[in-house]
Amino acid sequence: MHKALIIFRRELASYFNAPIAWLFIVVFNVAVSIFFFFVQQFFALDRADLRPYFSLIPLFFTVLVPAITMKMWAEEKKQGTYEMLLTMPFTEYELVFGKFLAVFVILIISVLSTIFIPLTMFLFGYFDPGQIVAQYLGIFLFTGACSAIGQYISAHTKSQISAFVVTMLILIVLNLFAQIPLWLNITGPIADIFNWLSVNFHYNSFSKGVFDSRDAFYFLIVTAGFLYATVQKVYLGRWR
Amino acid sequence: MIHVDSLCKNYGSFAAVKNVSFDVPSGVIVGLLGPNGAGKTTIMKALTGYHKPTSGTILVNGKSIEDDPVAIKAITGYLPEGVPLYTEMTVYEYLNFAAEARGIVEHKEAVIEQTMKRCGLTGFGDVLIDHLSKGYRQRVGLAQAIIHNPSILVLDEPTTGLDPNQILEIRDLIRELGKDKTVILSTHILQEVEALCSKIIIINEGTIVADGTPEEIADAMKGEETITCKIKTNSISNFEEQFTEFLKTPTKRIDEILFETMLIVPAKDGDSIAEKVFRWASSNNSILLEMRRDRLSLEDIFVKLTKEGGNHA
Repeated sequence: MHKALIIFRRELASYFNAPIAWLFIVVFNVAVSIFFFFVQQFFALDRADLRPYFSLIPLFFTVLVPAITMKMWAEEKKQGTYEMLLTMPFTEYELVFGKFLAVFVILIISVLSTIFIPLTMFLFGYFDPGQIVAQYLGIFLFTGACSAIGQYISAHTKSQISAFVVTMLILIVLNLFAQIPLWLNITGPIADIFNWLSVNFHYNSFSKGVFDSRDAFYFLIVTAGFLYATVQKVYLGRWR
Repeated sequence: MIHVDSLCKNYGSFAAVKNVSFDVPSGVIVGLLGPNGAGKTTIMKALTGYHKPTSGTILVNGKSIEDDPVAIKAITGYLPEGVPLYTEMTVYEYLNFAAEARGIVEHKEAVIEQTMKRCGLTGFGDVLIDHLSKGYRQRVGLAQAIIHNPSILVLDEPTTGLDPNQILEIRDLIRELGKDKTVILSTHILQEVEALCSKIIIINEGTIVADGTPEEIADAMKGEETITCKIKTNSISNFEEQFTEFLKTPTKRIDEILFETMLIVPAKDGDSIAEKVFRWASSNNSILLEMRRDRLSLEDIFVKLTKEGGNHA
């Protein structure tokens, strides 16, 4: 764990020095603000509701998370630092977890940097703190899953652009799964499977402020699964 | 210290290293020599645990690199080819990361300062690696490789792309490091090996074609040595047949001006053939104008081994 924190600190410094992290936070804030206040017309709706805000974040993350995760391994491979890193005394778990943590923290900072939106809302109405906790928990779980998927894809290529495009496609598809039964008009167990696979389906209850352990389990499984797959990818890469 | 046994590494269907075995005793500088694409880098990648061998074993201090890669990585310093570095970091930040990665906790700042001094980086701590020249990047690469005082140092083409002054500086540093460490360096620059290494492993097409000290390799190749002699005869007659018969070895004429003929004689027997040449000249009323032993330079050996093939040592 201590070794993973060394990787975490280096990655975090690298994102802020580059300065991709700053750029990300600014773009995310501008995009969320524009959408919330102008596109969704918060003031015109005249309703103090946090749900539009919490449903916006996954939408933007689908497009923006790949921009952060694309360089996680692809850049190391391109620059050759991958070799240096893998010959330092780290285990694959420490490398993967350290990198994951850095991206996760940057994304969480981005989310928290838009806290002025929910705070504005407090001026207009009362919100149940329990609900807000569930909503934020949903965002954190969703962010973890996206980071893990993005890291896994980045470990497959030297090209950051490829990693970006593929990660975005996967996130879009994972979002759309819940729509498929609606489009095809299917119900029953097949629809359940599509729903279960869908990120949206599991996120929705969180964004309503409902904590369901099954939904939390889904995100944790996706996160752990992709992190483990990345570890295997890095490990097996040595047999190339 | 390092024992490599029957190492094979395939990239897909391409066999980059074929059944290579060698030993590296501790405290020597070993040169891996070979043309581009011979398999030097692949061997180094296997030694540092970056690539898993397709087959074969690598033992470091009796321990397999497969069994405990992290422990072996901890006592190894590695400078990969092309010196990859995190260019968005400053020199100090980068060395700080390397020190932490190597588990240096006590006196970390002092260790970093000392390593920077050793590699001629004092005063460069706050400079972004991106802004450094190639020579200085090489120093940063070396600094991260030696910061934890490793007992094994693996350097892949450490002087490629440097100017002559920088090459000399880096060589001095490597020589200095070689006093208390096992250094394995790869290069295709022959002078480098001659200047630094006490053991040479010549690799061609994934196999070892020669392994030993520079003298041992030269000795093994002695059969390839020749004597060049310039003989002045008293008439323009073809004396070569007679001469060849006396020496009992075929000769080769390389130059002829009037009465003076220049010949190359294989010198398998060393001095005795030189003696015969002299005797023949004196008993045949000819004058020996010049006679010299052509020792094989490392360059000749390299060319012979890597172009013509064959296992000589």
